[in-house]
Amino acid sequence: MILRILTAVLMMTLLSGCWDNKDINHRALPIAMGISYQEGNYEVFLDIPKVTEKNEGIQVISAKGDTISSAIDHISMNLEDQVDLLHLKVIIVDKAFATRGLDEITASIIRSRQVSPKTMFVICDEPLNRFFERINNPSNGDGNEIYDFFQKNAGWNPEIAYTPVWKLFRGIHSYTNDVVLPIIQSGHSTAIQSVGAGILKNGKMVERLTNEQTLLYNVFDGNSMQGKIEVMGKATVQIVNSRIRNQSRFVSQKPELNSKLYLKVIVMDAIGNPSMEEIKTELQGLLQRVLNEIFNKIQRVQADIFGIGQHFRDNLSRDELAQWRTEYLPQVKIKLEVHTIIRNTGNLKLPE
Amino acid sequence: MSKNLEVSATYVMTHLGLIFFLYPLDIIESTNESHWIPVIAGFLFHLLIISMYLKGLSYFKGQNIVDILLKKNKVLAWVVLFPALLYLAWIIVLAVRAFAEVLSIVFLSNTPLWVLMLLLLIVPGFMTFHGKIGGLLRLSVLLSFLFIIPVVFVMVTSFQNIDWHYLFPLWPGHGAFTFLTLPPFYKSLFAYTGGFLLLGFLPSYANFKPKAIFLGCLVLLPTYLISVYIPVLTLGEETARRLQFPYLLVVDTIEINWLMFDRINIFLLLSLVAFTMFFIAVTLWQILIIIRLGVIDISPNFLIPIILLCTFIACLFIPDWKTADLLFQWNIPLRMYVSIVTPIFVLTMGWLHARKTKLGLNNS
Repeated sequence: MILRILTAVLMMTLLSGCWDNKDINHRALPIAMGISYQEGNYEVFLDIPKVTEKNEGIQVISAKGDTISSAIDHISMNLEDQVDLLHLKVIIVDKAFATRGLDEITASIIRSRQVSPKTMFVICDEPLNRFFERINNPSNGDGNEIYDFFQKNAGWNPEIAYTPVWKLFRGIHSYTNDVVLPIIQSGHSTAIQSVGAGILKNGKMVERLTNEQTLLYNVFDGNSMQGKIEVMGKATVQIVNSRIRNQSRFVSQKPELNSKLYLKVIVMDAIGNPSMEEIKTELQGLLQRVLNEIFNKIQRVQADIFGIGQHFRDNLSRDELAQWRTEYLPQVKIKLEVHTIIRNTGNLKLPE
Repeated sequence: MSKNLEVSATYVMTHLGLIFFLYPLDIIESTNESHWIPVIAGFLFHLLIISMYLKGLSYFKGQNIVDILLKKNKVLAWVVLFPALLYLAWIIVLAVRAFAEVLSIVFLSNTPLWVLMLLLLIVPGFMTFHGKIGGLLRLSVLLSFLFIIPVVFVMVTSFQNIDWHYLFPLWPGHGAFTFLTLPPFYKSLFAYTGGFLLLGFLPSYANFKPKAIFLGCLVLLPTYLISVYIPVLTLGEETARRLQFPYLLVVDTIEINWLMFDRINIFLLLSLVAFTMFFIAVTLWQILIIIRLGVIDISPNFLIPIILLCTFIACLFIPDWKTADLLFQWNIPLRMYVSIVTPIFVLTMGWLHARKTKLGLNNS
């Protein structure tokens, strides 16, 4: 009997999970981390919300180091709390770092298991110290803007690219998948403003997309919820549903992709008095033009952000697939057809 | 009274704990494309050995494997029993050591390793000590009620980010069976052979129909496929083979807005901790039976602490993950011997036994 009780007590102490525990008030939990790279030196910025009764804004701390983790260690050393990256939501890198390549940092995030692979990657268009200074302005709000900006259930918009760390990691190692990362800068009347997206090939930034192109990229990639498109001088429509059908084949040794994009839209605004047909043709023309622009761009820089190569997995052997970006992607003929249905025109009628 | 449900649940639980950690990586390493071929090959091997084993056992009503073997020829019996004993001891050490390391890599990075190992030994020891086999069988039903829901939930939600294009090509261009020549495939068989010996120990304690086991098999087949295909479909083969625990990473990428928990792989891991503890307890019980029936009948009061202590010391001697991995590889020949020779031996003996009884009946 005594043995049983002893074992039970021993298990209760062992199983309590309170081993080397640090209380939450002794932890600093950054929600955003900025990393800038200059001549072999990393500068790390941590965006830590102040936990007080009044929730008064955020605290930005920065340190330099040879590696990212040594910079974080510097911060942890000089801070009264322990830095805990468990709840990090956004990682902001500057252009110089993105152009040099994000493969090492991605690998160390995936390795560490402290930072979640769902963390967002973002490129900043201005020097990070200025960016953090300006978003830290107390008139901007409670300091969580950078977090809310990228949350799908808060401030995210279909014009903004959405790429978590694991997708970037896949893009670095995959033969047929590249990613786009959002590009932001501090805004004039809002804390943050979106200025498009960067195309990353194997983790290195090679090209940029504008906001409009990013929206259509999102539409074509299948996450377009509620995006609004302005049809030049005619109308504004909102996408309510989109579906893509792709057919891949080889025609005389050259890959060919036939894409059909089915869009359902509702009319939000009409300028002048355009007919339904006019809006439709105008919209189809616009989509075809912008998407072809993007296709030309990605074929030039050989970055497969749409995962076009995925459709040819059955036609190519693995060795050939490994050459996909350089050998086949520039040769792909993409035939795009856009079919639109205007589902309704709101409370007002449009001429037939 | 027949205990089909309990035996079936025990069989499923012991295997579930082994599938999600090392198995996906072993399969991904064994081939570049069409991963279903090695999965199905391993599964067919598993089916083959358990059907031979169960058929052999069915000739001896209500006797366990130790009794069957020792009644005939002592020397021949130990040709089978000694490797089995060695194998069980080996996997109990490896399971404890490897799982402690997994826990430390995945979420308990500050906890010292020896505490984790001790925990993984004391709890199963307690289970075996108090429950004996009846308790363990009942426990399996309780565990499945408690943990199957979170595990199934995680498995279903892990389909969130998949890209079906990664499924292709379904049939590889060349060398469809080269995986048979590579060690990772034989390493992956651990997930199939880790628990099958148990079936031979049960007959004298619980009645069950072979059908219950085959139904359990059917439950396990999707799990084997999901654990390999979810990482491949989400990340692609090139990326998945870079990860130590591909399935766990993919579970970490699931986003569910309405769920208040940020990382749902805690659900999976805690369920798997329970399954692994159960697996260790069952393995411990098998060692106990072989020693008590085959060597010397010591009271479990002394025997269990002795086995636990030896295992713990052996675990402490494995310094790093690489050594543990190497031990998994060295374990391959013994594993193949045990998983091939034992069923064949039992089947042959059963067949001879049946013929003898028949002859005996005819003569009298």
